[in-house]
Amino acid sequence: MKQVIKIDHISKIFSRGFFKKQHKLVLSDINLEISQGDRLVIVGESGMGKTTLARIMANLELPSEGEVLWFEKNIQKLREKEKKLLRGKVQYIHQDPYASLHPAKTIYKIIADPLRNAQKINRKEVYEKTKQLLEKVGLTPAEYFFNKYPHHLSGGGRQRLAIARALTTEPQVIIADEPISMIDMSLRAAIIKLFKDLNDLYGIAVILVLHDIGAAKYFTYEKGEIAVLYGGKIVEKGKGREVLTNPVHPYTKVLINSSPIADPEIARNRVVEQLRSYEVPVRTPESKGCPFAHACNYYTEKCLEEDPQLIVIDSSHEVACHVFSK
Amino acid sequence: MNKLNPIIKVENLKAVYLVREGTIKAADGISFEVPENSVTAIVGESASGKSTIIEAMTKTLPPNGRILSGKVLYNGKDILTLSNEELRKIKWKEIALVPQAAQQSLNPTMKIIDHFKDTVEAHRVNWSHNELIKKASEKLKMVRLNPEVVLYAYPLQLSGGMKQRVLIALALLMEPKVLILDEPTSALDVLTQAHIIQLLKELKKMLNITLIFVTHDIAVAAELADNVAVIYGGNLIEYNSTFQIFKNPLHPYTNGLINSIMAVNADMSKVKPIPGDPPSLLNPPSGCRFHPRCEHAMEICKKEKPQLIETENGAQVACYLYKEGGR
Repeated sequence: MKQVIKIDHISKIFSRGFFKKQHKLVLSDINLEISQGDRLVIVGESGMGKTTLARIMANLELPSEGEVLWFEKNIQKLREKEKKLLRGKVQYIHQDPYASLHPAKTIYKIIADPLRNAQKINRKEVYEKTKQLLEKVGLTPAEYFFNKYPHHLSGGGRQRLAIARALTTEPQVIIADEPISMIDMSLRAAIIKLFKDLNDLYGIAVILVLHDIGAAKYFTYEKGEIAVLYGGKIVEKGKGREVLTNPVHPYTKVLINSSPIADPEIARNRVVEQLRSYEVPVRTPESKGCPFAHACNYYTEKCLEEDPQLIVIDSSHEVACHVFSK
Repeated sequence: MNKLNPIIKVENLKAVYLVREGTIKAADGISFEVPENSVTAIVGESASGKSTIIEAMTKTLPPNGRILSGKVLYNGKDILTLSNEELRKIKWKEIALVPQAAQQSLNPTMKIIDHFKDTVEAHRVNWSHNELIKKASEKLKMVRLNPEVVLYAYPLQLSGGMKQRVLIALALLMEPKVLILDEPTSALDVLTQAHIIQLLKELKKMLNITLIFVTHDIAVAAELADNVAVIYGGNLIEYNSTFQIFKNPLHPYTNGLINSIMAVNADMSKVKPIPGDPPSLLNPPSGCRFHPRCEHAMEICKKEKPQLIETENGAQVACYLYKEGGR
């Protein structure tokens, strides 16, 4: 399959302070590859660098080190004109649909304006396309919504509208940052289903950033990969099913084990492993050792000294852990 | 479901919010009983009126909220008719409320110890400074925080999970019999959420108190609650024991909600989203408020609102698919 996005040894450092510079390592040495029609989920808790990674992939943020390749071209080295051409092929959907939609534009304008920008089509075609797009994301009947405003829609409806807007440029990749965290429970599954449909029916590669393991499982159930992020590092990566059924890294295990289970009998009888610390690790470029070592119950001397690398343990299953990746 | 000794009884509670566009009917005739020493979960989507219920119960509605009718009986006394001074005697000492930590419930300019001091002063208790520190430390230890560090910290120095635990410790200060929690785990990470749930389970066992909590995540209710009340569009539509709710959900909405959960252990091929959108409470649908999304909707559902009835097994449900005393 044709490769669409590749990130190659990406690191990101945030610096602040004027006289005494403080550096914070947010992402360290990340490699990912997404091909046409792939599904990828990036999971982790808040403060682990998920959003920064998604923004770097979408070229909304520049990496401190490493390269981002779109369609096998390094985007930082492209000329403006070429960049603009590719820009529409990779679309980013923001987390909060209550903030990402223009409140004073009608739903018709929210879709039709970018459509006119992205494609050279006449008025009648714009009307037809707008209608098609709204129906594609499940806002039916489309005419009913044309003259309404975003505040008439529920959270789920707004997120659908944001997805329709992302589709106006006919993208090959959609990157969505926590698309369901602001949405009601009963509508969450429907939004994930919509992403699955876009992937199945139109072959759009979808990258989701999630903190909800259950939703990650639902999305990658048929196909797709999961990358687990901890302290700015990918600690486990592989086929969604494989990672979630046979987790190897102790952090992945705790994360899966702590997710709420909708069955009172199982939920009450399980024992949830207690970590040694629940603090988010703060890493600097000088930090050494595994970022999870301060919380891990299985750490050894080696974990405090040496940063583990991703090791292939099974076809398409990689783990970065000194203790378990054998 | 255990019907003995209801400690709190809510009867036909109606509350609205006055806004420019009209009135939001956030609680439309809610009645339920909370048994003593139990854990009750109030489950609903955002803007379904679930927080309104506990805010009305504790008389902490925002300024544009009005209670139109109804009773909240605590040990036989109607809380809603009490004067402020009488209410002060019950609040915190008998019933304590834990607000959402995400909503910045702690004052950012005050140290944690000052929050404890304020609470004590507001409730007219004459504790000496040492006594206060002793009691506050004891409660903070109960929620597994280090009092020496936390008491003298500002809220911004604490993480989300720690703030939530401080709020729980603050609510426990005067050893209440009933603890009401508003979304104790929302806006927290998965691991912290599991930690808070574990903590609440232990507190319940240790202190023998009655817990009432509001959540939008029905999976949290599965872990913690004895009974679950499901709220939809300002109405109580089902009230039953947790095991029954999950094994044998009666109302089509409860059923749909359980089928739409993407839990880690769920069979993903069976996950089925509920079609449609939640109703607007400004202008709710006629009859049963779920009928536009319901696959079993009948003619009567569009015309008349179903009443909460009790089935043979003791479950309470508001749906025309079930008959009084039947199954």
